[in-house]
Amino acid sequence: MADLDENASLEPQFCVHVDDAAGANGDVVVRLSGDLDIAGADEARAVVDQALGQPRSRLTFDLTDLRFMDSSGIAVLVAATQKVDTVTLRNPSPVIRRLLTIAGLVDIFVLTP
Amino acid sequence: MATRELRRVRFAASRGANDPATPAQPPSATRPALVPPDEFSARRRRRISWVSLLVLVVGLATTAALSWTTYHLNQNNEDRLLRLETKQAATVLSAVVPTIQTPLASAAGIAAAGPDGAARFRTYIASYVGVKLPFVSASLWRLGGGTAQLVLSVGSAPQLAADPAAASSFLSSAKPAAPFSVVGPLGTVARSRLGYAVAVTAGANRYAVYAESPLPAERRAAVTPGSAFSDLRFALYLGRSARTEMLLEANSGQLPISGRTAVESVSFGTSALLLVAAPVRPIGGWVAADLWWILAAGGGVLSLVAAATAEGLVRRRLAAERLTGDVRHLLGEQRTIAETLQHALLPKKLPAVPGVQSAVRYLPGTNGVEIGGDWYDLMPLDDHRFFFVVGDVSGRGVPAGSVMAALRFAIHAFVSEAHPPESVLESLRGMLDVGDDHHFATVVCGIADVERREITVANAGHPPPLCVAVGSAEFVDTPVGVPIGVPGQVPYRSGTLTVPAGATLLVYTDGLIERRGENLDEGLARLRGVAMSASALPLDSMLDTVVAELAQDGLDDDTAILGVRWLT
Repeated sequence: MADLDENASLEPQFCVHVDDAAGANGDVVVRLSGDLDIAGADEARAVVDQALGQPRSRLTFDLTDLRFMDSSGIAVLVAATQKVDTVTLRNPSPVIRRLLTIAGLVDIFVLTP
Repeated sequence: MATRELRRVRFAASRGANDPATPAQPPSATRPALVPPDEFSARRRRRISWVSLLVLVVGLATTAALSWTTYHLNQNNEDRLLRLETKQAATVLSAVVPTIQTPLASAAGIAAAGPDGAARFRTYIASYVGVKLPFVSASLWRLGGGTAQLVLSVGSAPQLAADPAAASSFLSSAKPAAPFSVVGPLGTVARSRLGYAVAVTAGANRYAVYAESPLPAERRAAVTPGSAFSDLRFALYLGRSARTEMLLEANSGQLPISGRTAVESVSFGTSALLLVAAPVRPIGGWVAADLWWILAAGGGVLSLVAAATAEGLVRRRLAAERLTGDVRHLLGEQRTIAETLQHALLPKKLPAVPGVQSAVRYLPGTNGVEIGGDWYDLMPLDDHRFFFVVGDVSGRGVPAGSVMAALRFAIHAFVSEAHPPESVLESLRGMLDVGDDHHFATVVCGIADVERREITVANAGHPPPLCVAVGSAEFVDTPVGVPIGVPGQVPYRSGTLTVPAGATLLVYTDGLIERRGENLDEGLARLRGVAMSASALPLDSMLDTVVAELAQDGLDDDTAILGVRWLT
């Protein structure tokens, strides 16, 4: 219990936010920040599902402020690739980029820049 | 067919655990199991906490002090105001003195001046005698030889004359100038009078001028509202002490005046008037008078409310502490269950393979109260080959665990059908769909040929195995495909490499190298460094060292590490 609490206070708060029509082509942009792990995965998935409530062909995740992501978080991003044609990851940090590379997932996303 | 069965089982488990409509177990339902019922009710009947008592005592003490102070301030204030009012009333009384003194003195002067003094006296004094005038009776007396003889009188007959001896005694003692002498009260209580006299000398003769004023009937004073006396119960006595027979008037039936009283004395001729007064109602007002008990009542109620609130808080805190204890206990229990389940899903013992030594470590993550999705397996294929696999299902809990079990058993099935590693991964593709299941799995598997020291490895998004020999450590760099559960068209491919003699192959899950905010490369480099420095140790010690070095602060995530060492 104590461990959980301490970790919770040290971690930057995970936050998910949707900007409608903020993408280059009027795409929906889901901005993820903080640490996306098993604790935040359900919330992130719900937000993505809501953003994809109407049929779309593209979705952008803005990862500028995403510090860390575990496999539960990756699952959210990967699940999105099955619902739209193109999932763009904007500004993934080197940490996230490397994580996706090792997981063999770089090719299923469009990474910008 | 086996796969289908397993999938159905997995979905069932997955639904049950993910269903948000599944009602949470109410805490009360679990409580009796944790706390024996009688112990629990005994706790509920506990005495009031000392904190609440302290709050109550402090509250009541403060209230009492405040109340007492208010009461005494009001008492002092009332005393002061009463003295002021009484003094004011006495001032009004003393204003009466000249209205008696002046006509008497003037009349005496007139009576003594010349032979027709008596006649002029009569004329003069007549204007002071009558209804609503100072006197009801005025008279002139001749004094001599200790007796007094009435010369003339105006108005009603002097009451004093009823007792000639008393009259002689009183009038003979009258002083020739101010102050006047006072006698009384004369007559009955119902109709009594007060008499005043001054003496005067005219040639050889001595005279006394005497006048009487009526006292109120029954000596009950009629007080006009708004006057100096209207707020007071009072009694007025002649003389310097409150003797009943010397009562001149009072507005109260209850004598002597009791309770809070103030006394003022005003000189009145040769005697004095004594005014004893008490307030009719609180002079400072009802609010000031009642404030002390309003404070006492209000403070008492507030103290009780505060104590009750404190008691409520204390009890709630105790309940929360109990609940925390219960939750801690439940979490521990859940962790134990998770670990038990995990162990049930993982191989109890790695099978022996000739020519190699194998060992495994499994570490539940520090956050783990749920079952993890990491697994490992080792399967001998023939006398010199074995299949190894390490995988990691994303997420935690029973759903992740059931996916893990399904994958593990499926792999067993495919391996028994002699699939090569890349084909095994290919066969797993359809088993999991991240879109529906919310899980995916990274898997690295391979076939090792003990005799040829050759490994063929296929990788589905998993961190690369590390091949450690004495003084060197290299990651197994084979093609990496997408994790299981991620749709993709690119087929899985395997890579084959030869390991050095006596090499140790370390296959692990990402928990070992993953740190928040850190690039995985740093974790990989750390693992490589630690493994290399421990390369000369026996396999078990090597794994222990790796785990100890990389899990110094505890591992966030579950971690599995499989080590296989070639004996030649």
